[in-house]
Amino acid sequence: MVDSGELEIFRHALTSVVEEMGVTLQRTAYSTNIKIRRDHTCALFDADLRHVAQHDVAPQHVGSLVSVVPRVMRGRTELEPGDGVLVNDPYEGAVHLPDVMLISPLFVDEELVGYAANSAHHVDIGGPTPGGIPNDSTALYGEGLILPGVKAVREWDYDDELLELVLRNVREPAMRRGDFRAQLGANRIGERRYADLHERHGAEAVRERLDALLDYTERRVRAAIGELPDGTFAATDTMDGDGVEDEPVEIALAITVDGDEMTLDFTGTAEENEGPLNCTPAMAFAGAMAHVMALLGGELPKNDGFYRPFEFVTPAGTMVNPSRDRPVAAGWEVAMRAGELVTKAMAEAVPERTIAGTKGVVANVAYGGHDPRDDEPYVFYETVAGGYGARATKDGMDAVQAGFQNTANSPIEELETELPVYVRRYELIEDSAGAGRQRGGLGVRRDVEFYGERATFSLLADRATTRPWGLFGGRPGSAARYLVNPETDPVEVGSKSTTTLAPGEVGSVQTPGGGGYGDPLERDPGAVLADVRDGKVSVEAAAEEYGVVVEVGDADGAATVDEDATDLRRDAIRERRGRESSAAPDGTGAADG
Amino acid sequence: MTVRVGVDTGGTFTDVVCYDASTGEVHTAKTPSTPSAFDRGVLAGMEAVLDRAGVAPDEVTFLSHGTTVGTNAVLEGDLPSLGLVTNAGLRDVLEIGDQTRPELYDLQCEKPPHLIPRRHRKGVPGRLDSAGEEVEPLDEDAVRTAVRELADAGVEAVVVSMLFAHLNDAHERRVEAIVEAEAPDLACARSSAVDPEPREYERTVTTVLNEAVKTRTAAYFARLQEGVAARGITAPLYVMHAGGGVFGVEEAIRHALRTVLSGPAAGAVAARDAAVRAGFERAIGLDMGGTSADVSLVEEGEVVRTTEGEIAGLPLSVPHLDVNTVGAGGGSVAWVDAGGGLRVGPDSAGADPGPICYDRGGDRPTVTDAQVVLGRVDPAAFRGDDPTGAAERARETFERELADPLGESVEAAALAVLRVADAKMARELRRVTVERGRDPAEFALVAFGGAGPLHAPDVADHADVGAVVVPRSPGVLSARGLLLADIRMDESAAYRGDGLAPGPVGDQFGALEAAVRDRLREGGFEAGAAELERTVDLRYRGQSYELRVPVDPGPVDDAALEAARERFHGRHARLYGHAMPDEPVEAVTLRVAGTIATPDIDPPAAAEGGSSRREREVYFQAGGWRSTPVVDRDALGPGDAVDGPTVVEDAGSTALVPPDAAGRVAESGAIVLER
Repeated sequence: MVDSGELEIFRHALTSVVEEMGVTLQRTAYSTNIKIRRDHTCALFDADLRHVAQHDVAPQHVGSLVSVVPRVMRGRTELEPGDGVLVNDPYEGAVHLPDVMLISPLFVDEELVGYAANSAHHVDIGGPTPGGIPNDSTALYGEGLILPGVKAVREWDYDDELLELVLRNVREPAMRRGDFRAQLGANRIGERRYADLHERHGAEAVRERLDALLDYTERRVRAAIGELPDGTFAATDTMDGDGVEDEPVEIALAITVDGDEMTLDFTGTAEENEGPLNCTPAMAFAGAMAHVMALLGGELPKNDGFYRPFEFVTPAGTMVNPSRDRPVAAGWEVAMRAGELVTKAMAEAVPERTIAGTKGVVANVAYGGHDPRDDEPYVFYETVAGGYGARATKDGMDAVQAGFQNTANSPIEELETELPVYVRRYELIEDSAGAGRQRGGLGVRRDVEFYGERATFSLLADRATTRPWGLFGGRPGSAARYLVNPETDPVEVGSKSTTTLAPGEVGSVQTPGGGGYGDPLERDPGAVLADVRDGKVSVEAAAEEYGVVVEVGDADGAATVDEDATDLRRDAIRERRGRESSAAPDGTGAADG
Repeated sequence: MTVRVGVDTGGTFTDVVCYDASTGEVHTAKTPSTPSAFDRGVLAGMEAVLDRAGVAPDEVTFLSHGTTVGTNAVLEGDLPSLGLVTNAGLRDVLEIGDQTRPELYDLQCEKPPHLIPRRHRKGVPGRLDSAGEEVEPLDEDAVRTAVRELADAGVEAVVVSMLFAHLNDAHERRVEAIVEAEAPDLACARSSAVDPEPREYERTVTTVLNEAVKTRTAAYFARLQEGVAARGITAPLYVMHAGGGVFGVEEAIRHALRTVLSGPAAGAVAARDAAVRAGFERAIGLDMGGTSADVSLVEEGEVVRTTEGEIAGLPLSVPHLDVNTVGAGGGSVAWVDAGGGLRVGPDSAGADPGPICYDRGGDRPTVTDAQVVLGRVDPAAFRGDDPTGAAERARETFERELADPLGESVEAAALAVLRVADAKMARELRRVTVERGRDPAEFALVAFGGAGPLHAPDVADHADVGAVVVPRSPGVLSARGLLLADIRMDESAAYRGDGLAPGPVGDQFGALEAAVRDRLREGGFEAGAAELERTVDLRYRGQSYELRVPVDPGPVDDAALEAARERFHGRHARLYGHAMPDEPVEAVTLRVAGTIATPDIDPPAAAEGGSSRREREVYFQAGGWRSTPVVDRDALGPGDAVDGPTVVEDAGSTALVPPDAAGRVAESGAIVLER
């Protein structure tokens, strides 16, 4: 029996192991995407392949490691101390090809005691499109190099021949080599520290504590689920299309809360796509669990015990569980929406805890070309923030990442130093937020101009044809827009497209705003005025959406609310709504959009 | 004869230390802080300590002050209305920040404040490229319009921050000139002057915060300086900065942001002193108080420095001692969660009402209460009206809220609370050292602050740290740091040039050294007496994080630069496990620090008598309650052995020597514990 103080002490010691792994990976990586944007995560598994600890950096990576490590490592008895397995094969439980995982078995006194694992998003993994995000393949083979769980490390060193094979298949091999080396260093630290833990407590006591930790986590998660009302809560959403056939497709989730257990069932989701808009069950799981964890309480420990009260249904042949070798490059876009459906479905059950629709899009952007300044090819990958969903008592945050995604941006000075580009606009988008008593967050516009030579501008994104939903009378946020030359000769391009830009041309990513929460007519006119003065809401939208009449003076700061006109206008809008709702059948559900 | 006085203002108490070199005596005083006008508390504290020391005001030769006035302004969001002029299309950089959410799994979280509302942020055409070359001229008409609009809107000052201004300040200087012409009453701050370093968001935040803090602290320093003079103190007033040194009031106003986070810096300076004097060149400083703990690092006898810091979720780019603050202290509240797990924090009873044993109305079980329940701290130390009653209430609360739900004895629950708090702290210690490529086992732990010495042995055990050093008067060690801080000025500039060539590097170091000397002269110091220290931030071409290495004094020639390059390769290998001697190395930022050393303090380490040994029942994990010797710190002198278990009581702080530990008093007077 492990007492609760000992258990909490052990939990900190265990977390310390994964934190040190994470620090090592980030400190030693080469690519901006890993060391600055923090697109990576480390985790520990015990000898029974149970997930026991994670470094809280990027939930998408944790969710995938939880799926891939048991699947790839089960039954591999040939492994020895110092070995390591590289895997990115979606059909071995991994996710999309750029997320490469390294798994190392850990031994103490020649006995297997667990596994150190990490996942890092490599900026290039081969294939036709620079930046690892091909948007028109119809098979996995078109998406880059597949690593099906190969033993790539012996005695804490990469197998040279294998590594050369990998590096010959990817762009910027020197950068990738540095990142692979960082991944190995992280696991090695994990080995040393996990061994320390065994030395301190003894192997038997570690096992006992791990059991106790997972059981304790399970108890807490069951208690948290138990606080939710019982019932089945369902929601659906529509995605732009797969980049090949490009027809809108639906994703569906029904959550059943039964006492202290929860089922997430994606039955009803569209069939698998021809193009890359498919996600593996591991991705759907990672996306959904990020939202479930936030909804149940962020401070809950995250390990194997967390997942025990959950059942997860992803019907085979759908876009959340495609058949073997379907393309999955856009899988994280599906997973993002799979996660969003959790907060949407649970809106009626826990209205005070949930959020309206966020930007709902990963917004993968990649640039590739040749840099005239140093005569070298370049490839760069980033994602763009957007609006957060409004909350019961708070506006949605402007310009943040959402759901499982929390990667930082690349500083403009860094981008312009690395690539032959000028960032022409990096700004909030006026009127992009869904109106509401609490408004959504504003979307972001990032315009990049390429100079010198032609460049590829690749998008693997979504939300161009549908909008993030509002809740309880809140209005939807704006849809995304993807354009070329937005100021001079605007041409809309698809959310999954690659365009070759001539020197001087501009690629523009404009992400969605978040949905609003509650009736916009109940919003404090003073808050609307502040947004008008800040250019976040236009005078027209203030009147149309919020019924707030703003008088604009000549000088800055002179805008005021015309209170009488506002009262009249709000009454008129209410009256109009009354007429419309008696003429049309009432909408159902909490969500609006 | 010299008398040095240091005043450290905290949110609750003002700590004052006075060192009289003629007698070697150190006097301390603790007076209440006065948040409505902090200068009153500072002056009261000075009077109290001079009175106690029997020193006349005009005998004071060195007066230094650490203040949280700037820090509080930032933390409380009490900032003036400012305007921003930046590049067209990029006015939201300040608000977008790094685009992340501060919490991964919290749907209700909020972003850090954006400091200047969007309506007061103006974009104007004009661009430089990544080499600092102009690619689009500045649109001066647009600047004029923007400045007039900001002036009409009533902002108190204008900040200008443009892309690549750290490489070329021409556009920013033009904007500054236009502000002066169009709105002569408005102050103007340039990012190229305040923080000439790459990364636009960090540079802009730093410039904005510096201007904001400047506006908020200038009046405070002026009042304080007047008050000091009015009390007959003729010594100049020095102000502690985050870089671990002091500078004059003029400097403190100009570089106002550098006074933010100076409190922890004074502690780090004192911890370094305690470590080095006890014979440890590598140490971790642990300053644990009521609400938080500060962790600093000493390597090769010097406090580790950085320029990347954070306050209120905002990145700061100022030269400072690398001190990490953890939200865990004696006031952290213990509780039992829904899974039956014992937890400590993040809630804190703070300083007011504080733990139950403070007897000021606190009713939640805290870490400090656990110390009282286990007999390690005398409840009378908290100066409540009814210490015995408060201790009894603490025990009852532990029983009801922790021991009963956990099915344990009160003692076991209290012990578990301490061990959990210590394990959390150890995790932080490990992170801080590992991030620097170091193993905690190579370090000694210097424990101070009210709660540090009690926790240190167990924290050291959890973190695999070998030795613990408990300095004299650990409760007011930070204020002591103020007496030890050197006069220090830092200047930096982005390197303009290709690769690493003696010509441009030498010229730019020369300019920086001249600037440091000018600043010292302006502050009334003898510039020739200053020690100038050059460092350069280097990286392999293509990398985006730099490592800082020293550049030898003397001529900047090929040999000096080669030596710097070698240091860089070596450091890279240690931190990252490999070096690439064949790859080109480039310089990003050049730095010069000028210091004028402050003499050491050499107080008598000998025993001063103190009271004789007492005994008290103290509870330990092994063996339960046992009668334990309690000794006064003043009764211990160099060479004395302090074997565990022993409780050592000092004014404002209690130290614990656990049963399996052996302590000895070092020549410096510090107690060194080893297991």
